[in-house]
Amino acid sequence: MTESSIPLLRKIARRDAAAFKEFYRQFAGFVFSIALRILQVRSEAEDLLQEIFFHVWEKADSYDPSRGTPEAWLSTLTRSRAIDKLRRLRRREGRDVSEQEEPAVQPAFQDAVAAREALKEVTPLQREVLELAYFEGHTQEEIAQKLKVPLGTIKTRIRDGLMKLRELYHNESRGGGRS
Amino acid sequence: MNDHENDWLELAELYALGALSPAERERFEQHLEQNAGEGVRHLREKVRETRDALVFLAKELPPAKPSDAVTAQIFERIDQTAARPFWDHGWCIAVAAFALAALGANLWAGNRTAVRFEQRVAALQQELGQSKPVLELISNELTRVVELKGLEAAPGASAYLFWNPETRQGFFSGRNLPGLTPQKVYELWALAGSQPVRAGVFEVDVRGNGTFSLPDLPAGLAYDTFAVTIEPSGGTDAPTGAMVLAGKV
Repeated sequence: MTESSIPLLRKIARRDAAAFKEFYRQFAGFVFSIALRILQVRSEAEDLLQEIFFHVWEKADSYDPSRGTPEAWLSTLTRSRAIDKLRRLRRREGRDVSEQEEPAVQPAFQDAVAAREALKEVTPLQREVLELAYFEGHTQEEIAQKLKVPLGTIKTRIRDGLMKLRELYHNESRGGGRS
Repeated sequence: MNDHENDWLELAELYALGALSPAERERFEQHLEQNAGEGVRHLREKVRETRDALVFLAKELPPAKPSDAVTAQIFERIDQTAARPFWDHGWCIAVAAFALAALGANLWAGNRTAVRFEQRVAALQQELGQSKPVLELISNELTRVVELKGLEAAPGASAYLFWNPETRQGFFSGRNLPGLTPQKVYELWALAGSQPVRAGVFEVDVRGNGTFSLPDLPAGLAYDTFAVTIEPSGGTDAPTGAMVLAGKV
């Protein structure tokens, strides 16, 4: 059984390396998946992974449980830094970062979309806008332009998609989710 | 709820999703800052709730594993900067370093009149002699390290207890304990089942740290838990105050 993440963070704040390693074992894959999804390049995602976990090591005491779960803290931090990094890379290179080297995303990635049974309540159109915002850093106006769909429609898809995500999340939290 | 409030709630969701323009994001953050407290609690809650829900989206990504080399690199750097328990460093080295530093400080300061060099060395030798029982306890293979964790009354506090169940000797080292009024002290209890036995009172310095060697505890009892409570000055025969630390052997 794994130790709960909040006590681990408290120990990390006291510079407990063993607690850090356990926390890393629990969340490295989660952080790396987000970094890879956004940056698309394995080496960049690994650089970011290091940055995120060094931040955890240095700033574990800044985690506030009243502001969300440790997973939410990590995903918000990873997403925000990954998108900043992606924008910097694009500015520097003057081209899409995914052209720099072989994409790390496995071919199975696209197929995996269909396998995400848990999210089947979120329609593909809702999911598309959520992912464009969350993983690619687009504003709702940018999404409307990109998809050539009225802004009002985008807002509705986002609102409805988030509502379903919240329901799924609450069901999962209450133990009513997948086994 | 009026339309204005609904607008803020919608902004809160979009803020958590990261779909606001820089101007909208700034406006929302300013609103939170300028209306700190109860007035925007529901907006903060909406941001928190949405971020928690978005975790679910992230969890559905295909699993990915960083390379072992990267993991090793991260762990190496962490090990270099981790807080090592002081017994790892060698108690003698620490005490000797302290002694040398203290000597150096005295010599550097000149100490032109009062403190004679020989007297200082004698005093330090005495200090080292007093540390010897602690060194022996820590280096004894039967000694266990009991970790006491901060409870609700002092969540940031922690302590280690070096406890030898054979000799019933112990050395306690607490950290980050809240300061107390002069009328209060911390008292350590050894619990044999539900029976608490006094295991010493102590005070903490300005940083909330306190150490002491335990008195001889009664034989014939199987001590399985240690706990610290706040008690009236001088301590009590049975715990009466708030429990701040506890840990199992």
